[in-house]
Amino acid sequence: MAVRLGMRFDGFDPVGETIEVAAQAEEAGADTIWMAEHLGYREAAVSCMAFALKTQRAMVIPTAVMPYIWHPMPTAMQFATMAEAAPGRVGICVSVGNLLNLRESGVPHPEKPVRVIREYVEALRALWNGETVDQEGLIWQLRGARLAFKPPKPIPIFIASTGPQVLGLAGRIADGVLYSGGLSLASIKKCADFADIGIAKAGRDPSEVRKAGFVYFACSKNGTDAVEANRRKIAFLFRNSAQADNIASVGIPIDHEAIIELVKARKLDEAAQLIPPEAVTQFTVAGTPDQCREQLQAYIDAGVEEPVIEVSGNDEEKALALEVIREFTAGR
Amino acid sequence: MPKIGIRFDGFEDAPETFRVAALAEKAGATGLWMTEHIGYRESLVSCMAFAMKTKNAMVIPAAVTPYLFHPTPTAMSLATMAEAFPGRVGVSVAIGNTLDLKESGKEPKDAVQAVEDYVRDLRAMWTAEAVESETEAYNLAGVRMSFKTDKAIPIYVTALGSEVASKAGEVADGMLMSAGFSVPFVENCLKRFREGAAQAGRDVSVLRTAAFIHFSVSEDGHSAREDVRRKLAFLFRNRLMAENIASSGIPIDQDAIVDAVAARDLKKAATLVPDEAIEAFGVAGTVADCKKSLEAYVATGLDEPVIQVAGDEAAKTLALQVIREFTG
Repeated sequence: MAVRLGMRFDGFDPVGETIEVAAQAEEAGADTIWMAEHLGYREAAVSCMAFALKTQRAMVIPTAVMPYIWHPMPTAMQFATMAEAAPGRVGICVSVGNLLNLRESGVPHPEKPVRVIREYVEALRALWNGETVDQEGLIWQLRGARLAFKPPKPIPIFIASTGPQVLGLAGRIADGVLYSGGLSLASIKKCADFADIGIAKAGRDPSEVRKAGFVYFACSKNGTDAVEANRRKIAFLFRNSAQADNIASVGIPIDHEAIIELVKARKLDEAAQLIPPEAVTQFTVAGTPDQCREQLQAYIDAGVEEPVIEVSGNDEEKALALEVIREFTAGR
Repeated sequence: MPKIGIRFDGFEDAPETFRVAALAEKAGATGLWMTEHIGYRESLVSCMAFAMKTKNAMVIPAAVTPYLFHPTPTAMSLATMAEAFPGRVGVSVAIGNTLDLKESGKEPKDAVQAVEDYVRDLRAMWTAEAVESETEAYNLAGVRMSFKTDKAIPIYVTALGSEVASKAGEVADGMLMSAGFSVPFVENCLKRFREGAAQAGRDVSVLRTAAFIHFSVSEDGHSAREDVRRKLAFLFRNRLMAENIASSGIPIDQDAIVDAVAARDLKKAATLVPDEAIEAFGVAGTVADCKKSLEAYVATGLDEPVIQVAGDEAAKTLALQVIREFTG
């Protein structure tokens, strides 16, 4: 499977700015534009509609829609509408979501994620296929639900996770798997193994399942500023208690509990101070352009067929990141 | 200049609606409303596209239901749009069509309360304070937005009858009257809306009112009336329209219409809408007929009649002409 390069937004920046950067990234050669659905920040689906209208060929992928709070019917409508506006250029990524954020939105215990995601994927596919859907799901029930229109081209469904069960499910049923951002190379390899088990179990050809991975990315001339920028992002990521194994995989002591509490209190800068600088490049790509290219290649070598990076920071840092995309995609 | 909005029902493909939205703004339309018909094109992403394709018009998804749209992503969606297009984004909230909700596994118990809860919680989330709420449709346990918009997002409540009109006056920034209301029924709902606002001690002069009006125009007037007949059939599938239908005194077999629409047999449903209902519940005819009928709606004190620019290209051109003539 050919390597593609994607870029992603985390929703922290004003949407007008992200729309402009999305267009620049496509011009630089990015194949896909992923918008993270961080609860409380800029919303992914409407942002992706804007990206789709502002670009010409890149696929847009809201990431990740959470089956515990997004009803499948309006979700199917939303993505079919987007796909009609930009045929063949819309995907979706489904995942359990962040446990802290889900709790704040009234989902204290996201139960049976494998079943819930499987039901969600089945419901979306059936609705997009124009079927009348009856499904007594664990979270949602559909009783004769039907879309009155079909997306003109298929909408690929990715599943994101770091857990073995959900990654196995992704291997069995999804069009793609998305590895979360901030994973160490060791964690990436572990995730790929879990997905491969699902692929083998379902007797699927591995090429049917695209393996994409969010890669936290920051680039600066001196390299140091890039490392500092990624500290903050890693701190936000580590608000999730499920990151414990990933953190342990690099063997650097990090006070995970304290980070969770500080992020919960919206003290992101203080949380960032708890990430040792030497840990940053264990979980992210950060440094000078040359260092970034080298670190990016390491993720590809670890099995990420589509690294999905960020174009962030100040104007100079964004320009450097776009340059990395240009060089990476040149000559294809 | 009088305000006039246009609305889309989600029946046409998305690129066509974007094209028409841009043309309507050029003709003078001040509001672009996208109906959330379950199963058809979705309103939030459509409104983002409308905003991108236009310069000044307000975009308003209508109506978002608390039973299918969790307030966290909904507040995020609307705030994202409002950040990109300050002062140009609103939302209308309603319980939704009961048949559609049932197909999506939802059977509301206390619809009016659910709408009130949703309005309160969306507003609270947009302050970026932590929000706690326990409702029939969802719970919130400290959820908080991490960004705020510079300009407020007005929340309309969609009224399908006088009870909700009164509640809209109490709690919302505006009232959107559902399509298919007759002029006398619009007057009644406006009265109840103002009474609700007064009882809550609110300044009614800053509140907004709009009404979806089933609209079609043609050179001869006849095909326009047939078009509105079909739209009314789809509308009358909603049990909550019973009060409006009854107030007209016109005998309409609503049960049979509900059954036909449930079977996706819109043609059969349309045959159940009598001729006199088209005149009573819609605006249909020639350009001159339509302009006159619209003026009757505005004479009730309504701020913004909301019509459709639909049908074939000739019908759309005529509808745009009505907008141009209406806005002078």
